[in-house]
Amino acid sequence: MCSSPHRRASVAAPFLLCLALAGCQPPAAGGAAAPGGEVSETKVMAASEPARIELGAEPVTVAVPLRPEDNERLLQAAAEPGRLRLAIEGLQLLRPGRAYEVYLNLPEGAAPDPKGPHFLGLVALYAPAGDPAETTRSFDLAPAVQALRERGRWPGEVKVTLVPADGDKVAAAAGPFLRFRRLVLYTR
Amino acid sequence: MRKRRARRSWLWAAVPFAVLLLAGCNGGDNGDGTDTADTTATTEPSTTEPPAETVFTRREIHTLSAEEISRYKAGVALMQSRAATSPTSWLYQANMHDFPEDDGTCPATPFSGPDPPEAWGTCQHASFFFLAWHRMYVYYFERVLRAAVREASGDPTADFALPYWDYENPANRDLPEPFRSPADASNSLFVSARASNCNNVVAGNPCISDAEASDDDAMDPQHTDFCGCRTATCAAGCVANRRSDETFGGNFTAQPVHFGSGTGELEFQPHNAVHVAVGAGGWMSDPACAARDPIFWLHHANIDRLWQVWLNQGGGRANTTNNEWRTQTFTFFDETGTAQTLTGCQVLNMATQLDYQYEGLPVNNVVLCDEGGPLTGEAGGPPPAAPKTLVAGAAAETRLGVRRTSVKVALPQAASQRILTLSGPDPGRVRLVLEGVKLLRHGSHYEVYLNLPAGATPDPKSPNYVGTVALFDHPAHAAETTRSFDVTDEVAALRAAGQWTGELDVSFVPGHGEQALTATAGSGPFVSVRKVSIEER
Repeated sequence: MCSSPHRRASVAAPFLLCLALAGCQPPAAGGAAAPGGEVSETKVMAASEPARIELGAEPVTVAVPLRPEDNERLLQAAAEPGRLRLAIEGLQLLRPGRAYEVYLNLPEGAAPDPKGPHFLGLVALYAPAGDPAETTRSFDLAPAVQALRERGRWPGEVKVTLVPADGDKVAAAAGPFLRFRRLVLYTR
Repeated sequence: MRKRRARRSWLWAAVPFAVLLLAGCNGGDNGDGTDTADTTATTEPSTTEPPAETVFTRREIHTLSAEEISRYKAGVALMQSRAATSPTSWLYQANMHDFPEDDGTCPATPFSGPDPPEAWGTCQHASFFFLAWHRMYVYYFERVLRAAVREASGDPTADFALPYWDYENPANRDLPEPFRSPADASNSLFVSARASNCNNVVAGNPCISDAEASDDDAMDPQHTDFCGCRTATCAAGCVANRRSDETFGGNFTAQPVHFGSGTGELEFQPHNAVHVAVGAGGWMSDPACAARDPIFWLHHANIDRLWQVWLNQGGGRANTTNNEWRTQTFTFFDETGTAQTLTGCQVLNMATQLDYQYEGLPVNNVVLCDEGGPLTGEAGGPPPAAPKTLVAGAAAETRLGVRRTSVKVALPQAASQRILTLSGPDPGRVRLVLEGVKLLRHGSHYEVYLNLPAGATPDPKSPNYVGTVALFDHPAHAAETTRSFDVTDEVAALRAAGQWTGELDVSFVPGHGEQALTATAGSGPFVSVRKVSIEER
């Protein structure tokens, strides 16, 4: 179904673009704060500004701000599978029924293609509607970064686009399905 | 669907010994309020009833004959006809997963009294209990359904095993035909509340897409850890510093959790994706209704199969040895409607412990709780190479107080060159190792920086930052520990930025800031470090 052209919405508009903000802070000393004051060893490279970002019937694009020196670190980390990951934090299910395809640096107006180099994976939550528990979904960025570099299409920035999968399965008028808080680039 | 179990006579003779051995695995309440290792709370099926004569074989749904499908449908219809108060009814079994309190995606099931019937709403999601709980659930459901198939067919020995749906096979992406045709109440496998392209075959738009069906990430070498914790320390048997979907089976929880926040990679993908794709707002995508759809059980049989597929790959993949995972008891109902309990220890080997297997799938790399080695096959791949120390500082205690503290380590040219090589095209890794790290008093953690220039403002987002030392211990009896960080990327970034000078200067910066600590914490040290070194891995 994902390869069916008539199922694919263009990401030209409308979409939400959350731009880099200087006030964006990693959770604690470069690591993920955890109950009890313990700190994760994983290292945050960059993160989008925390916000309530809802996913409904239209694609949503969120930018992760990178400083100039971060790009070199990103490319170094992405040279090895599993070292550089993108996390979607604070995910919550608002109502069941729709998954979202996640793309890295999908050009505006391009047709999303799960078989293409921009595709990172799916976000599909299975929980009671309105479940307050937040979860995190993360993806290895190495395959997409390497594929885009090989094609000469690495733009030196990180924009993540979430596109509703199976667009004709669920009525769009009833509101958003998922929401999340921020995107985090981190290394392991 | 069944075959003789070759080793049954040996296993039966070994049962008394197995009971004794299991005592070391199963903990629980003896009924008198005491918690001890026991053999009573975790009944091993083969120890309480005569052993089954067969191992039942679960086959891919598309390989079943028309007669087998017909008998399967009749068994489902019989369960669906039973009152919801019966644990062997379709609704009772489904509601054990989860149930709606009010009419919603599916109708609510009325019950008397303030509390729902026993074991309703006990499914385990988004934690490391996910795989074990669903194996137990599907196992007892299959026993109930087998009895129903036999009753409906009038053949008390009729062979039946639950089929599975292998949607990863591109030929199987449409919903299996028996579940959508005929599309009416005469078909016990049909549910209307599914995605339109699942209840109908749509050219170019199958029920399950390539992306939804994929288990590539769950099976790849990045997901060899069964379970983890987000924190720097973790319960035994799980790995620290892991987001849950960096593990195969989900994150540790000390207690059962209906819906947690530690979803493992297999649960995310393909488990969640297939639920959402089939349900699309209907039954399968809502946990309170999902198990009412007959395809739920074939989906979960496939997830259960993929657990064994993962183990069979070896390469370090293994079930957790975590005690909470192994001994936590969950309740289900057998074909007589009698409550039964199982623990993780009792569901590790589907063939010898639960009398089922998947067609063509060996059961390798399974270590039982009472065994010191693998049951069959090899447990994991070759051990990782031992780390090699490239350079080590002198063993001299460095005390970390309210000020930034630096430790310089002489770096011979050969070691410096090797570090640069490893941080370049060589696939090796470089680790900064802090030995003899000890908590002296509570009050501060420390950010660790590599070659931080004098006078520079410490920035955790700079390439100089390598991680944090945070100890969670009691100062009066704190033991020395080792903290290490992978600094391969940091060295590469420093070199790219012209900041790699061939020296090794490790700075410890109070996590709360020097000024804040000076004002509030006195001048004594919080942490001591005995030795700094660099290892190659």
